[in-house]
Amino acid sequence: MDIPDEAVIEIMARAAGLGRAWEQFRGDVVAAACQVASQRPALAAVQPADDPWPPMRVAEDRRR
Amino acid sequence: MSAPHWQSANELAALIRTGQLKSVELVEVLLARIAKLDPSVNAFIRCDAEEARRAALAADAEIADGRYRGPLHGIPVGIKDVIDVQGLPTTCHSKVRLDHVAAEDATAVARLRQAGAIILGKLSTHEFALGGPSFDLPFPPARNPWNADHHPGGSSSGSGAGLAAGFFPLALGTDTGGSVRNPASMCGVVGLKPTYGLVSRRGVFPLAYTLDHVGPMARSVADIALLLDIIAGHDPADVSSVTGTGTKGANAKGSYGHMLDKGVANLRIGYVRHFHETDMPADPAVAQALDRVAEAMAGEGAKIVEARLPDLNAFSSVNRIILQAEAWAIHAPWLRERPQDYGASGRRRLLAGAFLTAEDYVMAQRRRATMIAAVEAVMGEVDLLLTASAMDPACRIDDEATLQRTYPRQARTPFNVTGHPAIAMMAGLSADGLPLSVQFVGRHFDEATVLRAAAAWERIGGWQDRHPPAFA
Repeated sequence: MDIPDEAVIEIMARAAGLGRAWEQFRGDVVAAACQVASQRPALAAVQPADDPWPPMRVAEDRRR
Repeated sequence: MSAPHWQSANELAALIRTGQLKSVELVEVLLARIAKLDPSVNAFIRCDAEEARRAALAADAEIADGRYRGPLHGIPVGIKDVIDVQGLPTTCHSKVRLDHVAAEDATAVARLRQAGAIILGKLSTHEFALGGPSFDLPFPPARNPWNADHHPGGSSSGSGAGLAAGFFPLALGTDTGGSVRNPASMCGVVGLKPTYGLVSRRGVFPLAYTLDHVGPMARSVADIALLLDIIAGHDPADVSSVTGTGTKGANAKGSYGHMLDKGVANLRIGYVRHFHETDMPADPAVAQALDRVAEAMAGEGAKIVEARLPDLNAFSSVNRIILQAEAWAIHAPWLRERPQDYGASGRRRLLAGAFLTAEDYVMAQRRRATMIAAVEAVMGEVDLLLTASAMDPACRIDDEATLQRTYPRQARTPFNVTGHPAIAMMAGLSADGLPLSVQFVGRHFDEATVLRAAAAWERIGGWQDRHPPAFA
């Protein structure tokens, strides 16, 4: 699990426009960033589909 | 005959239709019960007593005049407070939305009103239908009628708690990662997540567009069918609403309950043991209850076979990434400007979306396609699936550490990812007297078979007649 350090999290948070949240709720922001990093390994258990890429489908039936 | 507050909507409808019970009498019984008992349950954010009385009087007048609309005429329904009811706030249980007032009914609510149902009020949820119970929101969290020191599940927490407490016979909930089926499981009632796109979400505050469902909740399977009959159907105002339901949906009369009495003889049921045995090992009482359900269904003539789906933890991760990304797209402006107006739990969960990458979201959607294909392949071999719903009975509502550990321990998210219809219902009681649960999952648009199996288990198990001791 690759958990970013707080300096990186602050840069990411401010880039996302979360400066106010960073100042007021730093612990919540850090917890959110760590939670995202921790959930990625579980995805390795499932390979992505080769096809189709999601999700663009023309709703042909709705125009009838 | 049981007291009116424990009668099913189908039973009440028969009494109202024949004039043996007035809708206004029923509403007064329920309002008195709510006034007396809801302070210990907190199912309601707002009980709209005066409007309910007015609507009940109008329903009685119509029925007396020979203008009976059908089995929901005069029947009270509770509405989760992320769903718009015209003239009432849709607070989403959040300070962020306290000033909101709905300009019109959500499509599902409009269909209920058209059928003559009485809107009893707005029901507790987790903040924006996400996370768990919180004590830092503008309204207190709902509690579990089986033990008020324990949580009722969520996020449709008021819907589950209010049904279990006998406050109303029917409710609407929403389900993005299991939020109809969790409170149904914890409160010992019945909750159906329909096939994605079967029930309109117009007028429902979104959590995650590609995972959100509106679902019926009740104390009996027949009442779930009754409610689904009314709220299902195409809505051009919801871009995800399907135009047809294939050949396995409602019958020609629009009824999803047309197979409730057929039993399960000759149905092939795939028992997904690995979810609760190896992927997320369940409390032994839950595992034993699931085995009893499987044995009982086999005893009724069903063919039980082992079924294997992708790992439950992978389903959970895909659901979480898609949910967080889509929810972030909705909440980002508020989280930037007024983060202090969110509760701590909701804020922490919603902020996660800011740290996801475009790659995370797109790859999660591609993995989702793989998972849908895997479930569809299994569904080609069986008529439905039997799985765990919750891996544990409800813990104490004030035990934050256990809440954090147990809330994600569930097998509901796979079917938000894949869109298959899934119902959760009671499968027994723990040694501490808290409900245990089971989940049945069907093919896309095959709600009728899901309800058929659930009705069979309801008859065999007999749990629907059990009520929380403090509320009986």
